Amino acid sequence: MGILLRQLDLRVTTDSGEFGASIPFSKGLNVFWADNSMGKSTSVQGIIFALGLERMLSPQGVIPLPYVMTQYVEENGAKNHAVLNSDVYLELENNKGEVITIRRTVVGQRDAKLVTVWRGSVLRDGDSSYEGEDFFVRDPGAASRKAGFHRFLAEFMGWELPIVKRSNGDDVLLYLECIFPLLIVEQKRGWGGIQANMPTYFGIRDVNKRAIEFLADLDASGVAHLIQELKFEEERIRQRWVDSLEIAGVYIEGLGGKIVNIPDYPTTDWPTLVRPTIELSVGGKRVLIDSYILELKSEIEKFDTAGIPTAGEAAPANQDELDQQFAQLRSLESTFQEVERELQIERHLNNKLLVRLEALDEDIRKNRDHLKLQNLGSKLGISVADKNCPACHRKLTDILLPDCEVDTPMSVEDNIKFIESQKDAFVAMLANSEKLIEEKALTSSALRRDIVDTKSTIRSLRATLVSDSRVPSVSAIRKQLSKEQLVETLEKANARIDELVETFTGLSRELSQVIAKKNKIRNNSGLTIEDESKLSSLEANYVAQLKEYRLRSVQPTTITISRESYRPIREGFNLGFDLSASDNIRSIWAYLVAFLEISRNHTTHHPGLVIFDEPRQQETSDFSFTGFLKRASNSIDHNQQVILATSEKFVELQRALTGIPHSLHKIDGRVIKRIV
Amino acid sequence: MTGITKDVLDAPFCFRETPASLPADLRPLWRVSAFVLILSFSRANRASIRKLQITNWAIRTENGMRTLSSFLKGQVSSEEVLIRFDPAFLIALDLGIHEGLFENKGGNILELTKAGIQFAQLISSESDCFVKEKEFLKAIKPYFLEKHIAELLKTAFK
Repeated sequence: MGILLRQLDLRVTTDSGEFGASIPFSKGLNVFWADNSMGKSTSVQGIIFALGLERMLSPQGVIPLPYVMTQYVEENGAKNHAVLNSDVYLELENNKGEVITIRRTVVGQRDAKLVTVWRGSVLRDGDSSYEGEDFFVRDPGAASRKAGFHRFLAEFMGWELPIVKRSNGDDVLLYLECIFPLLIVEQKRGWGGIQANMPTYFGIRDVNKRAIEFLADLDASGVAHLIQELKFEEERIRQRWVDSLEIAGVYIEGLGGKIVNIPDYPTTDWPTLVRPTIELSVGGKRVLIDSYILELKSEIEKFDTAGIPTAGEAAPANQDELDQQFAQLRSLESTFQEVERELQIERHLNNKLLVRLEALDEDIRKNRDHLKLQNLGSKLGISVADKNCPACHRKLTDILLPDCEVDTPMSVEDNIKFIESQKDAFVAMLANSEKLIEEKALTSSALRRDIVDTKSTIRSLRATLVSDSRVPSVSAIRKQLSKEQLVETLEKANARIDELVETFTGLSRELSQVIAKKNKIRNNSGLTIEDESKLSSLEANYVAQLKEYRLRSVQPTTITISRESYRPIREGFNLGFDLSASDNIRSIWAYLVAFLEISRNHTTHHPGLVIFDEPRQQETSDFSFTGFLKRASNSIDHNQQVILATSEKFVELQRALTGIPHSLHKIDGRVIKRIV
Repeated sequence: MTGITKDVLDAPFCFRETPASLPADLRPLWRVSAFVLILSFSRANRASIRKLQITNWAIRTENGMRTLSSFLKGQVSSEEVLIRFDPAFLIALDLGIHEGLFENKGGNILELTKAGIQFAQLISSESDCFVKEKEFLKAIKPYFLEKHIAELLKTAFK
């Protein structure tokens, strides 16, 4: 795991000759000095560009290099030389001692998406006998496909990029652009905060955390991925449960029944003690399916043993029954009408409730808007927002109507609570009304079926009464057949429930496994002992550096590293707002160096390289980098590399560097010069 | 008086004022902010008082917004747009002018001040504030012409 920069070359061909710069790097602390606005940042931008990381700086991946590499080169104060061709070369070495040289064209004939790699030292040893290999950057697949440069680079660094989740649930590789904000701080936006250059448009969930987990090789990263997986698994189980229930429900409803004792959502407590069953509506009454089947079966059996009566034998009984059936029909019909009317009223009420709820939601929305306006208005010092009259500066009644009965309106906060409590009541009413409608609809369709049944019984009774008295009773046969048919249908429905129970048993078992896995993860908070030891080293290291650099905005000892976000926090809040501009720089430096330093005693994925481009002077007038150099110079003992590009006053820089191991590369005048 | 009635009435009592629930659009800040938003969605941050009056009526309710945009798109006639005189309108107008958010440029033309523009930008940058109202104002912007104002006011006050 590791990488060192050996040399950066910038080459520009203009209409009047060759320009360029060569910047060598060695192990340990490298200080690259050039005066203000002479091209110091061009070098860091050149490194970012050569590594194909420009999307760290902007989603469009605009070439992050200044005009000197893209348009014209100034010489003797005039913009006189148009750029015809320009390239960036970067020579790297990994910890196996393998050396590669990268070339990427900025302007010229070659596609800027191509990166040529030579497996050897082209710049330092000047050996050009190696054969170049082309890779692509920026197109989809640059991190995953074989010809992708980032895949090559990751392999060269000994990295196996982890798979992470996007917010839409897709799996993607954690792109290099997401990891390097912890290794390179660029001048323009890099000092805005820790990981300020993190690209968010890849849509990777918790990308800041994922990057830190990878760099510090926290086991938690695997855990996080597992948690995501489990969430998706749980959702899948839930969906199957709900779907199966709905399909079975529709079928049972067609029979005028409903499934009872069945949970709407997955549960691990399955099968429940009370077995799910079907409740039917028979003649306006509720009966459970099993007892109804038994009843039907005993009726059928009674009939079988008695044998089929002839029409003549059945006549007296039939006459009585016909009367009974007529009476039943009348009563069924009137009940049906009543139920239908009630249903209509209930539906009407339901609609009104829905309208009312919509209005309440609208009311809540407007009141919430008002709360936000109070906030915004106060920021701008708008007196109405603080309930003061802008004309007379007295307290303003919070109501626009003159002469109205309302003297004291509620505060907006109370008003929201008030409407919400109203809404709660209406939601409860709506739920109740929906239940009523469901029940009444069920009764109504059962009654309709009973009416049809009664009518056909009447028809067959009549047919029997007028038929030859010696033939078998039609009504008796019809009754018998329809009962047998009904039993068959109901038994099928019962079989459906058995199937459902079986499906749910499987799902419930799967759910138990998911929950067991989740609990196991939760019990150790996602962090392993090794993770915890890395994070406490990181914390101690970071806080020690802050003390050393004399952080002033807050007491360094009150700062900890969050075990949630892995970022510095103070009293539970992200550090950042509390810090002055110069303390913010101290914090970023300390945080990134802390990762570098803990990698000396822990296994991490840190490549042992950190690059800082000093912020522009006007942003941090009271700030000096020289205090940091001593700490950074230790990197040489660990085969690591810290690169700082600075325009610090040279005399002061020299003083700070006295007695500490370093390599200084000083450029007088412009960085990019004519090559003679 | 006997029994319960006596117990209830024969006891000390006092009247206490309880704050009343109020629609948000009757609060000064909501309305003044709505005016600022309406002006910011008008050409050059300015509009006539008559246009403000009509939009003020519409923006208070979802139904109003729906009706006005249907009228502007020629889907309903002006007879169906029942613009009412709104006593709150003038009060809110006064408050906004005194607040220095917009000013009367003469000829009954109102224009946002610098502070008004700043406030409008703040409101616009809040993604979940005035969501429906912003959508509505954006949708009617290209359709709202002087002739519509004349037509609506003729119907309203005939």
